[in-house]
Amino acid sequence: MLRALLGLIVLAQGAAAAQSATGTIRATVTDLQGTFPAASVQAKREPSGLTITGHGAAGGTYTIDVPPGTYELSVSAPGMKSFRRGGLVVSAGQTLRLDVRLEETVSLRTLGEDPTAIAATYFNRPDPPKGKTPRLTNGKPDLTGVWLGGPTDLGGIDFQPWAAALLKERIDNNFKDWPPSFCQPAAAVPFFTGGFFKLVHHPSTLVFIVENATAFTQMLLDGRPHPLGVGPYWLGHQVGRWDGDALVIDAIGFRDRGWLGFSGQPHSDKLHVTERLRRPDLGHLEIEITLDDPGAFQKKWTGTLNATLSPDIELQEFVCSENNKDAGHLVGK
Amino acid sequence: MNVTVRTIALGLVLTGAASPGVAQWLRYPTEGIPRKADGKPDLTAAAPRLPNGKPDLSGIWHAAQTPPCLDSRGVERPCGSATGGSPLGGNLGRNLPGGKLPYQPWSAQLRADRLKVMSIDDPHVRCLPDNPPRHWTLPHLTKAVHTPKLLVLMYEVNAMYRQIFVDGRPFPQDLNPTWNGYSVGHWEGDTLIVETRGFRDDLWIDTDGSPMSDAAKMTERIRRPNFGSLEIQVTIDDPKVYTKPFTVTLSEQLEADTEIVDEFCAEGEKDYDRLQRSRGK
Repeated sequence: MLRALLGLIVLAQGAAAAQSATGTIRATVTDLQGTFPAASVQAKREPSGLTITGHGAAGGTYTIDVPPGTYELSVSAPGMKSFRRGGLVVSAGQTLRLDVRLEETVSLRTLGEDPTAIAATYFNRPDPPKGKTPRLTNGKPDLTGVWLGGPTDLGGIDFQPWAAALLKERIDNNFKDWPPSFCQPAAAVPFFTGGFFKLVHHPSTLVFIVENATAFTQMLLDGRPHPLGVGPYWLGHQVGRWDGDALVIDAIGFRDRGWLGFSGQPHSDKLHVTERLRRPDLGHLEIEITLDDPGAFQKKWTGTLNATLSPDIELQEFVCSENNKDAGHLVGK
Repeated sequence: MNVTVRTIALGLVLTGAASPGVAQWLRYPTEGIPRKADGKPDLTAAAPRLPNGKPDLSGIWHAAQTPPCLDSRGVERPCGSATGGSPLGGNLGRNLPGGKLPYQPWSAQLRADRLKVMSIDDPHVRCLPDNPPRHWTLPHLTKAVHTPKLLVLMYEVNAMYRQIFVDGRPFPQDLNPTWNGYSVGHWEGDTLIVETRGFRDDLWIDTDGSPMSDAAKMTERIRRPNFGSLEIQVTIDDPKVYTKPFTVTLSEQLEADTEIVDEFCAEGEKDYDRLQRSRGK
């Protein structure tokens, strides 16, 4: 599960406020082994509660530009105790520097629970293999493989007021109602789940399997339309067709007030997802994602997720319902 | 054993924890299914083939040996929307000599203990995986997607899946113990031989609670004799639990023109606590 969390934290890039007269909080995050490049860093304004997420850089340095005021800084990372310090006064044009040393939580250091190893999974990977795009028997690109997605910045979605309020409530609540904590799917858009995913490409069906959450979804490629009144489903009803060498997935039939991903962005049952999947060569998968949600957004959102092939990796079994202790220990407002 | 109570408990277990109401059947005429003159699926047509010429096991499958539907007095009644399941789902050894699996004394006692409390500790009730060979017997749909090198089985229940590698790989060294084990397949003529190792030590292989251990070696011989059916001959060799290897035959029927739907077991799950509260009563 830690690997899952890390993947999601990489994906979680909240809305960074652009302000004219701002100050800066610069936090260098380290652990016992040195710098730590995979933390979630947030500044929360006191007392209004405006939350701004920091962006990390090499050397474990996180920079957050904030309007002048008093802030509480929180830093969390998989396998580490959360850091929290309030009463930080930030003035316009000035930089407040902090050294944050994360301590480890109680960890058995069992398979998959070593934070250094988890970070290495993401940051010290070999280059993907070189080669031509593999093809199905019908001549179209074969998207089969075990993939690891790069970060997608879900910030910048222009929400309707109710959805913006729900996003704020989820952030203020430390995301404690995030469905995977209760063994339910992590993201309405499967590619936002984070971590390794596997695609199995049959000419009539593209199967998406994610290692770290419940669990598979399918994209139906036999030319069918969406059934009338389909769903509501957690991940929508997904059909695909070819546009040249791009596989275009169209999904509707979502639940209402779901989660687009770990960072809490909500969607309504009017969500319409379009994805263009391209495999320009053996080792790369490019996914252009368009989200249109007249029930929750002010306007459409488009982003790109790039994934690379992990040719020597196979998914391991992950059964969330087995001895899940998270749900009873999550705290929020 | 009180037959009525036992039947109700079995029903609770088999209907799956937290299904919101009756199963919702999607109707969609599916491409690639051979048709009769009246447009109905011709399930006796030849099995489809993969590009490599081997049978393509893709399809939506459902245990074919549907048990009779009984009312609370044990009288047969129309099944309505019930989706059945194999009678072997309750007792995998039902068709073997003596009507039971060749238990060792300790495993016979364990199964008896589980039956005595009406199988309320069944992993299925706690949203845990329906490990093989059990998933072939339960009244839930399984969608198979078959490519020349991989067979993926997608279980509608809780979006669980199983992979069977048909790419010639050997078993990895020192397998992790898992619910589904690690499955590799090879062809003998038109029969896919699937070997599975690396199971956990505490599995149930039927609703009565017949155990399976980490010593188990399972072989499934899977055939698709025609478009509409699968035959799976399952041999389990588990010297920790059973006195000898045994073989049972399961069959699946194709569910044409439908599709699997979302079923997330943990959503609003209430069965387990209620069943546990019945313990000792």
